[in-house]
Amino acid sequence: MINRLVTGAAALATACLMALSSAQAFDDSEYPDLKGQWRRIPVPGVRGQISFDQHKDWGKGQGAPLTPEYQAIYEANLKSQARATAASGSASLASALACRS
Amino acid sequence: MHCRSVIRTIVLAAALLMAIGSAQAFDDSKYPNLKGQWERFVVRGVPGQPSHDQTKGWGELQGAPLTPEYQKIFEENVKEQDAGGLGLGADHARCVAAGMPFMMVAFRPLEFIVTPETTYIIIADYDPLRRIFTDGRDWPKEIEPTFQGYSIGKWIDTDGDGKYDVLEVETRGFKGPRIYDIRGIPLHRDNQSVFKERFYLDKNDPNLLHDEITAIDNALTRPWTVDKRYVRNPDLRADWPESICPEYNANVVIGGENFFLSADGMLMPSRKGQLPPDLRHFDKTRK
Repeated sequence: MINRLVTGAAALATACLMALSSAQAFDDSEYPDLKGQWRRIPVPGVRGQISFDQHKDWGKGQGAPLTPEYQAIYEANLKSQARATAASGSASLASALACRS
Repeated sequence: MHCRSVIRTIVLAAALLMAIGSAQAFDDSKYPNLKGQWERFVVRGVPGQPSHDQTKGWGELQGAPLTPEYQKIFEENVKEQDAGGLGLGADHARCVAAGMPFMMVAFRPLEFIVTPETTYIIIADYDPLRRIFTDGRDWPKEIEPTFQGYSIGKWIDTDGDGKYDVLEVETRGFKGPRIYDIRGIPLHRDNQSVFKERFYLDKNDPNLLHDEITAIDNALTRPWTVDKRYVRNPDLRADWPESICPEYNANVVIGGENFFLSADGMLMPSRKGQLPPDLRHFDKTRK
């Protein structure tokens, strides 16, 4: 009787091992569950369009640590946007409007 | 002694069962291996740009079973294209999504990501991706029309070996206009198209993927079935090209007419003798 039990249990263990080896191909339980649809968190009171730091306003409000050279480029761009807005009555964001990602 | 052995073995079996329980979350060995980069199958000598039936040339050479009404629409579009226009390809030339079935032409390599609930086909060209839901859902009461449509699929074990080998898919819920290829073979404006597909790896070559696709559309006199094939890139770490259509697109459509942007960023005609666009909204002319 005991011998049969041992043999049965060993057979079960072997079957389990075989099943395990095929199931181990990708064990997604080892990874965080990121399934579903994710949306950005809008922070109330933050002004402008969506930006890099969600907690701050767009553009200057971001406080990006730009080098002096790129700070100048950025401010020239702001002036250009302001001129275009004044001319057309609407914001002109050339790159965004051209559908570039 | 025997009792200890029995207990140990049972404990081991129980531990293994628990391990299986957690590992069974997604057993990808049940699904065909679609990993890697899939490129469209190129048939040598076929003229024109890639089209719906890969074994035939584009446009007129496809032999699409169009109704007389849509054959006429197609032929008028061909005349316009031959005169330098874009015809029914105008929207796509402006980077509007291709949609089904044009998106499956694989101008850029495709990637298939299989999960139990959804199979994703990353297009990464004019269209971002397709989601094929395999979670057993039914058709929604209302579908927000899209260019790629709403796809429901089912994995099938056709030979009973315990592994899935065919993904059957039905896709509905479109918006348009859509075409089969850039030569302008049209789908019906009512956007009531339905596509039935069977994806499977070739029995003799696991690096060849078939997409048997049947178009059911009111611009056709009968369902139109083709066997699209894709070839797996043997380099499993191949580069994935980035394609941002507007980055290099020189087509400009103004007032329904196509113009080009020259290399120096100036507007230029797309065909000989073309008049400049209507400038009624400008209050000054450039001198």
